[in-house]
Amino acid sequence: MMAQPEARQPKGEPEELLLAQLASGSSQAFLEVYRRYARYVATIAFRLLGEDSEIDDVVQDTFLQVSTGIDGLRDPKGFRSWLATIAVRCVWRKRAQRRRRQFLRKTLAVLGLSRSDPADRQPVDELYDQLDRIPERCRMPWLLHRVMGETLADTAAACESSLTTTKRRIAEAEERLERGRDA
Amino acid sequence: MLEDSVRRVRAREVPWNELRQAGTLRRIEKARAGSRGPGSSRHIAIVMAGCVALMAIVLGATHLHRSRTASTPTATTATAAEPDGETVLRLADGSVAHQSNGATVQVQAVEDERTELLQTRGSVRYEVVPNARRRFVVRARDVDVNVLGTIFRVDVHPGAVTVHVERGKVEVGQQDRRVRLEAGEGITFETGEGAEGIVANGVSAAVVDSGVTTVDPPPTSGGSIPPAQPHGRGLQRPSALSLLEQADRARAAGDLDGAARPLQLLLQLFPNDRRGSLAEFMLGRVESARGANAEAARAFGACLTHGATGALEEDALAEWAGAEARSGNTPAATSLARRYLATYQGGVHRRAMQRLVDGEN
Repeated sequence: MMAQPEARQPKGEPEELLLAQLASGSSQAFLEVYRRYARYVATIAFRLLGEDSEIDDVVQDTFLQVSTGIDGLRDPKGFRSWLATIAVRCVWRKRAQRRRRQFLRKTLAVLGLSRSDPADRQPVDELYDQLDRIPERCRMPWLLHRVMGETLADTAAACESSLTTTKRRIAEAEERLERGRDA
Repeated sequence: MLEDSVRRVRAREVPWNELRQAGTLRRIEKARAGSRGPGSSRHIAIVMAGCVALMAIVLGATHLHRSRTASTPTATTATAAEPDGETVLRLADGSVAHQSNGATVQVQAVEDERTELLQTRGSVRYEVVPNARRRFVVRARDVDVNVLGTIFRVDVHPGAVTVHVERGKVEVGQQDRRVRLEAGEGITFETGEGAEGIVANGVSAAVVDSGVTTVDPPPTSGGSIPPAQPHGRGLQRPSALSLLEQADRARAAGDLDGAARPLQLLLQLFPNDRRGSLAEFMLGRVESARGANAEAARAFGACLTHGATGALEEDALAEWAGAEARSGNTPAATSLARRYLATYQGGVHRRAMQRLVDGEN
């Protein structure tokens, strides 16, 4: 069973026009883009990180890069996917930082998960613990595809890898998770 | 097994709300403004590092000083009267308390790690800025509300305290009982103060008003809740409280018929009980779940007739409109939705009600 994507392109002004205004330095356009997509980026951050303490940082870093790098976007239709790529990169960096300070990680995880339904904590904890033992290159695409419900093509774009590689990595993550559960 | 875990992860609400969005935007704007300023980025980085180091020293010294002195509330709040008669209390961290209906809120503490407010009267709508490092607590009599970052309302009535969550989540407690509430949920605690004639069998009751969570009453040494029994000769007459509890337990177990029966019995046995409005509301929810929308509409309407107030009144009106719409009575649904929008301009159900008025449902 495949999950439905959690956030789709919002309605409103034409995207192309808005992005053109953003590229020309319009603050109003930036605010509108932020309003439309902040939750989407927050969702990516939350699902990939597994807890909420660094969501704001990921959203901030992502939109700062959007404001400075919008010129690099060639196809306005690919904005959402481009945004996801930036957000995934930011999460990647956060996780790398986190690995360097392991002692804080557990504390932050507890803080984040305390917001969820207590009945759901144990399986969720276990899943994220298992995911932490999986290589990052497999973890990210698996979460994007299986949890966030992104298409394989979007997942591949966000992870900056080919479709075939992405499929292989998702399958590898799936196998490792299943094996971990059986053990 | 794996599928179940994925489902649970997906079911977790993303902790992102308008307050958090606005806070992050402020940080982004600040960073963007900084990056547009004069000087090389290296120079700015050095200056910023210097500032951070200086701030760290100052903060460290302040913290040390605070820890050595007695903990006293910091005067970091401002109160202003709004044109609509509301009084707004603004805290230093950006959190806001909108006070109405003669509300009284005392600031007990505003510190780095904790903010504590005491609400003794009236209705207050709190907008709390998220801060994982700071504990934000609102106390109303023996009820305490623990917040991470959310918008919620606390109403202090004679004999009861109601908490209703608009966004985010809170944890509410009375004595040793805790319950988590999510957006759209509410709870009413009966409290001892001013509750003459409400406390049954010496038991201080806690009852849910949005039909989602069940809270057992706090244990007391003198009283116990009698099990609900059929009403008849030689049998003990069940109390209104025990019937409500029986309905809650049945509903939590998914037994809708078992939930409806004690509620109908309560309304029959205690037609003048003040919990009648709550019973009608719960019955409305049960009937909705059973797909009996006309019955549900009747129950929600009766909830209002029974004198529901505050969050319960607002929820009942919205539910009534929804039930009428589902039962195909569009004119009634539209009329009720309009009434809701006119009464609760900032209400939590306003979007759903607007959709009804617009004819989208």
